[in-house]
Amino acid sequence: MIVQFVALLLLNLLQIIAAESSHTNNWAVLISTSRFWFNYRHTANVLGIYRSVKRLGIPDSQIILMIADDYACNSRNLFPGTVFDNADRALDLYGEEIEIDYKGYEVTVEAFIRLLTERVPENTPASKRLLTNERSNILIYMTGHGGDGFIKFQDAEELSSEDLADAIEQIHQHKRYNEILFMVDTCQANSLYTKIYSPNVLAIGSSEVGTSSYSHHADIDIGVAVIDRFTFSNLEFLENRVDSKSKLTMQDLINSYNPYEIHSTPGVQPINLRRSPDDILITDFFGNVRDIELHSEKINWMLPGENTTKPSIKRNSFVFQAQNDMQDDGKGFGISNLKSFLPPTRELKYKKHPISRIISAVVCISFSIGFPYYASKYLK
Amino acid sequence: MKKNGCLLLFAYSLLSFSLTAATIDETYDESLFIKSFSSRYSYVSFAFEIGASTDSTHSSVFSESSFSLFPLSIARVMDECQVSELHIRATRGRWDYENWKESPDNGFYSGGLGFEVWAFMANDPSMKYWLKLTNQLSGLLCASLNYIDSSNTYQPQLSYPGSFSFSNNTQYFASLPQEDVCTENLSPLFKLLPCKRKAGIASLLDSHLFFDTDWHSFSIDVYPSENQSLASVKMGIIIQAVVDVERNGRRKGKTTFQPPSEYCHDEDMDSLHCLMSGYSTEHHTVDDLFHKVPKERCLLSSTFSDVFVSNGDKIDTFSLDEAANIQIPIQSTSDNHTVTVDRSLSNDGNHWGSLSSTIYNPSSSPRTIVYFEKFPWFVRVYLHTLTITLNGTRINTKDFIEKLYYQPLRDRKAGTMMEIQFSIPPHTNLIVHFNVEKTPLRLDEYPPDANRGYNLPPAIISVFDENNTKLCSLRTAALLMFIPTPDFSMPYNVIIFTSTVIALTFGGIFNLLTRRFVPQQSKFQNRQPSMLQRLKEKIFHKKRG
Repeated sequence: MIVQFVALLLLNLLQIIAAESSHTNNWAVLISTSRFWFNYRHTANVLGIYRSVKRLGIPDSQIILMIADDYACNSRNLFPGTVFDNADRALDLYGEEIEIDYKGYEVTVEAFIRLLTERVPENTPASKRLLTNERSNILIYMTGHGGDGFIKFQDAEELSSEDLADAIEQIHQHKRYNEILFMVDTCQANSLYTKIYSPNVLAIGSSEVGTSSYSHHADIDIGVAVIDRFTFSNLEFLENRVDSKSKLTMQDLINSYNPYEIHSTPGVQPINLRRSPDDILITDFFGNVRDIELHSEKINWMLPGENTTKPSIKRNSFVFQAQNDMQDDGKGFGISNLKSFLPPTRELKYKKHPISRIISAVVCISFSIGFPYYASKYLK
Repeated sequence: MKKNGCLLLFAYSLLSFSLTAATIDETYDESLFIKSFSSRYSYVSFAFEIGASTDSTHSSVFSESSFSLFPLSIARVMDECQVSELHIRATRGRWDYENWKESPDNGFYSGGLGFEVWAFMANDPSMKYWLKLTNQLSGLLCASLNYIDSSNTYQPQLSYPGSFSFSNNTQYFASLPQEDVCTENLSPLFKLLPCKRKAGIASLLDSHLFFDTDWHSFSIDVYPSENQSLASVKMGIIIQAVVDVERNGRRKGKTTFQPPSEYCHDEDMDSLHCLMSGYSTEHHTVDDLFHKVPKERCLLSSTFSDVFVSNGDKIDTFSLDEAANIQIPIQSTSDNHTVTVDRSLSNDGNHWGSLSSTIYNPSSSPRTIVYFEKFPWFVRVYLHTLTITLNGTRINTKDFIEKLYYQPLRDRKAGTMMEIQFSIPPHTNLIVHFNVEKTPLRLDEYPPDANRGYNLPPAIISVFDENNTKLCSLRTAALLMFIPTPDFSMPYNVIIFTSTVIALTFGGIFNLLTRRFVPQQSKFQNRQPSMLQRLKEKIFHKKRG
């Protein structure tokens, strides 16, 4: 009976630990590695994901956006200052507010690995650094041209899967992430994450080894393809079904992949995850943590030494209250209510547990008896 | 209750005292200037100015932290990098001197191509604070200004006489012509403004229409208001564009960026008139230029007249409330050039080239010209080939040049800089010509699109009058220079070819060295005579000896 009770308690405890996420902040690294106008769709892919993570709550200071060429103000662009990812042109991805942290020639393999491993040059500003800690969830999204075991940077360099795996291991050894979602949309994308050996990484690729990643459709006036199929599927899910309070999980996103629509088979590889994709929310990677706690009840703060027997003193509480309570106390805040803001001070006292006292006594007695005994034996 | 009241009053007094410890006076002004060049082109200029001054005259206002209007990020950068004066230019497009005539504001707030940064700061041979400044600005403006290093940093002596410069300061200048200017560079500018884009004249700016112009530029200038003192500073942000009103009109009312209808269905008019029928050819309106009605004025601005419209020789002033009804008169521009400049590059194959700059002085008085030219390190300038032609006649260069500053190149460390000061006579056409040599780079030094070529930064011509007052600052066109590019697959060809040669050579020699040779005579000792031999012996009855 007792054994069953303890087992049931442990099972509930494990479920509670597994279901709850332990990250406190979210970061996103979004990279489009392609140059030249005919790779317009790669920038549209990245800007679509960028728009989604901004909509779901990640601020610009925690998004590292790397775009390898200028497409919005390219001379070939019929719509200057605009990037579309759909031929209906209903959504302007560039918009009026955008922060590109690495642009043009700055997007190199060296810059990317230095960013991940925080070995950036000395004078690098904070907007171009990945300032994560051990409670950070990082979304890494890459798109471009690739092959078996590599992704091309600007048609001049390659990032190999071994280099990527070693970079993630460096982040792990420096304790600079809680969980990583690595998402890649290239040809033979699944070969890019197979070498990763660090824990708590969920990797998703767009296509298997030997198969390509295809574009979805083209715009006649822009003249080139405007989005890839894998990212189109992701954005369809994120834009239509996910908001910042959504409870959908990563498994729901994975189940939404249709290989017939994508024209390739997406690959999913959980790498030493402590949580299952069934338990990871979409907003654990694409959204942001909000640490606002809402109270629906009225809390009375009591200062130390305050005499509670005086009924004439009335104070407002600095907490969120229900509508009915607001009408009673709705006289606003003034300098006379300053004391109400201050919570009472609590005394923290450490009380030693009796068992630890017994253990300390036993250890001391053992040393006091044992040491002379062994010393006398040794001296003889 | 009395005791609590006295205590709170004392705390409030203490709080008030701490707030008034550092007094900073701040001002904010904004203005919009519109001038119509022709029925097709209009020039617009948004100017914002934020001033800050502190009452302690021996300290810097940048070290304060309780600004209300002045952006703290700019003040922090100026303080950390010990900058007394900072100028940033970002420009795209080519100013049409033929049709649009003079540069706006005599070219003082216009760049050439890409980004230009120059600053006056403490002299530092290792450029530590200069590199820190450009890195911080690259994060602030979302531009690749961190590519500024010693190889593209110059120290001009004549072109930029800092009017408020400190005696112990030096000037650093850098130009990045290949840097793109787009929405991500324009957005941080509005974050520096007190009303951002929500009120005032900045609410008229749409980045889509702004980057659909033939020429656009923005500038940031931070400079001291008084001489030799940083107690009072000003920051000016100017955003300018030349709007193609006809092309702009195709977008009006189309919020979903549908394709422009190139033809109309009224067959009575031809297609050209159909396109132009959307707007008046007598005047433009603010709606023609911006497709917007401005919002209420920025209440932090100290002026009420925000909009200035050029009308012939005079300027009409309007408030922002009247902006919707402003009629901008179309006028032909007057031909009052101070100096016109042009520059061209000729290539003699992939190795040699020559550069020619044409400067024309149409006025009736001589002008002092400072010609500032800068090159990357892989362009070798041969100064001995410098020739100056005056109205088609070649003149003696040594006698004509008054001052010459020349910084020779050092491979991968410093580029070439030339500053030539001379006096151009009235009504004279002057040509500066010299030869350049293009150097091949190492394979890993080529940009990913090396076949596109490299943008040479434009030359800067400063014009002074007899009183040594700077009249204007002109920039020539940026040039595209084709650097000699190898076959980028050549390393792989070399590897394959060399490996094949090594394999064949090594294989042959190894085969010879390891082969064992056996004499052939031992094989023939026990050989039987052939049938033919035996038949001959029988016929001739000859016995074997």
